Amino acid sequence: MEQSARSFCFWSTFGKNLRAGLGIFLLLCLSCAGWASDEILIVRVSDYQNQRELLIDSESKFHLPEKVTAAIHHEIPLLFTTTIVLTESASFLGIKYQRTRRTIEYQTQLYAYGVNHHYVLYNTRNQNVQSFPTLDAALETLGTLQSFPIATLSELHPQQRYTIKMRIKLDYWKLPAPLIIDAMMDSDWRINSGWFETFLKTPQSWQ
Amino acid sequence: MSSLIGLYLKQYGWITLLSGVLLISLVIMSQILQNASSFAESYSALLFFTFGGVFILLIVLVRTLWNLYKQYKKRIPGIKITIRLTFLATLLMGLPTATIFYFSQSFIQQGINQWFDVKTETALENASTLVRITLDNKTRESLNRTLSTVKEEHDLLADSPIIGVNRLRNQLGAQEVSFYNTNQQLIAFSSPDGSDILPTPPGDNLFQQVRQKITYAAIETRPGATVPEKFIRVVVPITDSNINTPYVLQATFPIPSNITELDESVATASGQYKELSYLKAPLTTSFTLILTIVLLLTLLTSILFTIQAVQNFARPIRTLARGTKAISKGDYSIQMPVKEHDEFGELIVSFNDMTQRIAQARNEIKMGQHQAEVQKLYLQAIIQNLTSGVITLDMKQRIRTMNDAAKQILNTDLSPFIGYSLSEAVSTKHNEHLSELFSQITPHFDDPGQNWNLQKEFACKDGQKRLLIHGSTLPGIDTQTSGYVIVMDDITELVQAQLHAAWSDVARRLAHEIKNPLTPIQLSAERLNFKLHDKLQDKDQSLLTRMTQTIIEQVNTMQTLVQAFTDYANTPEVRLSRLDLNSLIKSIVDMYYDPKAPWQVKALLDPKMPFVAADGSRLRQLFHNLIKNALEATENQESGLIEIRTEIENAKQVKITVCDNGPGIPEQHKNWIFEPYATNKPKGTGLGLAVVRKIVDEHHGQIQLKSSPQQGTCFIIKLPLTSRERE
Repeated sequence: MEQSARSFCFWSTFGKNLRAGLGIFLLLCLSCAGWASDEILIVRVSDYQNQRELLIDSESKFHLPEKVTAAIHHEIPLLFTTTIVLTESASFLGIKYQRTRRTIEYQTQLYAYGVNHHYVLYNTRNQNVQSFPTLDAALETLGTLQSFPIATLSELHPQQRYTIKMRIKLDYWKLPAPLIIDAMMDSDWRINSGWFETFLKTPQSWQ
Repeated sequence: MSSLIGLYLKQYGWITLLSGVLLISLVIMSQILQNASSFAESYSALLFFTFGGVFILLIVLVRTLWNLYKQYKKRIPGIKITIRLTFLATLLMGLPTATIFYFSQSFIQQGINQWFDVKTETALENASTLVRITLDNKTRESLNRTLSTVKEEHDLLADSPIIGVNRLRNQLGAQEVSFYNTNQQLIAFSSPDGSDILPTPPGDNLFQQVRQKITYAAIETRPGATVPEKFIRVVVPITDSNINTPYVLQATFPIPSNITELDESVATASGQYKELSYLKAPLTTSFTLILTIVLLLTLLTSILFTIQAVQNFARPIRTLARGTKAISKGDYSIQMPVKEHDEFGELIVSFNDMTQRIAQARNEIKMGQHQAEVQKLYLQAIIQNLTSGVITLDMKQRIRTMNDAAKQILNTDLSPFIGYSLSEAVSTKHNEHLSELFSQITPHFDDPGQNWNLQKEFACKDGQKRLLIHGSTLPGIDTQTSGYVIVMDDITELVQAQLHAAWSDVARRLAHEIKNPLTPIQLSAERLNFKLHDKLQDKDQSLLTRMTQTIIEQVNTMQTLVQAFTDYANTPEVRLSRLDLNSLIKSIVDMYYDPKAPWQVKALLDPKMPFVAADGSRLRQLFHNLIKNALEATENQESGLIEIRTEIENAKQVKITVCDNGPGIPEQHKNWIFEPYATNKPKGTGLGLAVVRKIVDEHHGQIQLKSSPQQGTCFIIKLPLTSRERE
């Protein structure tokens, strides 16, 4: 009886310790997430419609830290995640609320390759591969969206107010394993544009 | 066996499980770092899991150490050995582990540095340059050939593009030649197998570039191919001189597979080398980190295992210590639980057996002691209640015990001198009256084993006593004699009673034998005087008268004496009745009232005095005798004072005190003052106080004498109350 009580006591303590440990990890994870820096600057996001479809163009500037640039030159593949969120603002009985109508997220891998040292962009969404002779050209392409389809107009209501949020960030958890500890310690690796938010102008032109 | 496994799992299971999982995690992480890309996605999760696991172990260790500290503060048995062994084991494990860690860390750093030697880097760089130059040359050559061939076949292309592109392809040895206008519309193309599959057009940017009269030649990879297939794309502008229309010609040249493979190989090797060279520092950090975690894991697990093992080892010791502690506090009922059947288990079983035997023996001793105590108390009670005085002495004649009767007989309390010798006890002033008695007793101790008897006169404050003393040795266990016992009886009263009986007998004989002839003697003397008085001469007549008068006076005296003896011997039977003592005393005192007398008799009566069971006439005689005795004692005083005081002694008896202010009675006379014919007075029968004592005895009362020289004398009489008054 005493043994079982002691055993129960131990597992109870062990559970408490485990919970405390997990709590600290979560805190650490949260501290790592949502980090906004000025290495990526989303300059513009503009919307328009074409053939009953909502499209956007966007332009972003990259000012990657030297450490990250050096990693690219050493053929370390970097994975950038682009997230576009379309939210609809509405009110019900005077209570305002927002709901997400569309979330688009895709990864683009940037890496240098070959003896000629071409910089390659590989879009995981459409499997497109494009190589560039310079890093700047590759980054410009990475930061540029042209006629990017968001939603069909039939899905949207012209009377509602819509917001488009866009964010580009480096997914440092997908770096090569030895770099992860460095990335956790060094803020240079926490490249994140933060959310760029703009109101949708297109619905006004549907009238 | 299964119970052992169960016990192991219960005590060590969680540490083993956690350590095992952490170790596997660390191995996987190590593999990932060594380019095991299949688990690369899990690296961060494993890293956190490992951190968490080590952190949990650290918390558990801190908690365990804290518990040990608390146990140390509480002085839990076995804690010191637990701490000492844990410290020793940690030291023994920690030092080699730390040494291994140091060298491993050095080897990692050196090893990783050695991976990236300068020669390899230069060789790879050179190989890359070589391949790049080769491909650049081939690209440049392809461009130059295309330009020169286009210049030759310029007109043909303008006039007949289909024939032109075919000829061009054959002349250049190209894989594919296509001809576009600047609107990116394909005009003609040629492929080696005449396939209808349209060629891949140059991109918009290339069209734009060519429109600006800038040629393009580059090595590209064919999109969509399962195996990376490289080719040289050459795009040149062509202008129709006749109509001045710009065109775009694209020619693709295959790169030989051996060159492609070499290129790929060099590119891959170079890329990997570059990647690794960049990751040199992080790799070192990561390996060092993993090694540190391994070190921590090893140490933490070892310490926790050690603590648990040492606690398991010390548990029987703790159990035994608990048992001995309980026994030291007198708890022999404790039974230690036997959890394991090893040497310690056998020790605990033996301990339990020993405890049980000790408890049994202790109970028996207790019982024996209890019985001895009961016996002792029983004997003490008997001795204490004996009317005989009992004093026990040890071998060195030191007082061990004495009962109350001894205190009363010896008229002193020798209890404070228990443990002291008799000589020490009598050396004090308070006990000096015992010195003569004990000086006669102690010589009898010189002859052990012999019982002895002694009758001795003994003078003390209570008066002269006659003691009958018996002596004997006390048997011992180890020795023949363990001490001595003195039993003493106060036979004063017995002797007095015998004397009283003898005097009564004498009185009866006197009354019977002397009283009868006295009257004829008196009558004869009177008759003799009457007959011869007138017949004698004056001188003889006077002599006769004086002699017969003497005879008559002496006969009268003898008659008085005989009457007194008769009274003493033939006292009537006492008739007890309820008597108002105060009234009786008052009436007697009134009789002695004489304002002219030099003495005074006073009564100090307690108004609450109850009735007593007494014979009034006998008590009247008692008081007359005492007053008479007091008056005789105070006859030489200027103003004699006799006080008769009554008071309630307690619920059972009253006290009557008859005091005078005479010269008092000497110490040595006190004992025989109540004996018949014990008078030192020239007059009197010497039976007054003897009669008083007799009357008191007949009333079941007590009489005491309290007298000291020049302080007067008090007779204290205690009489019982009637049963009604008691209630």
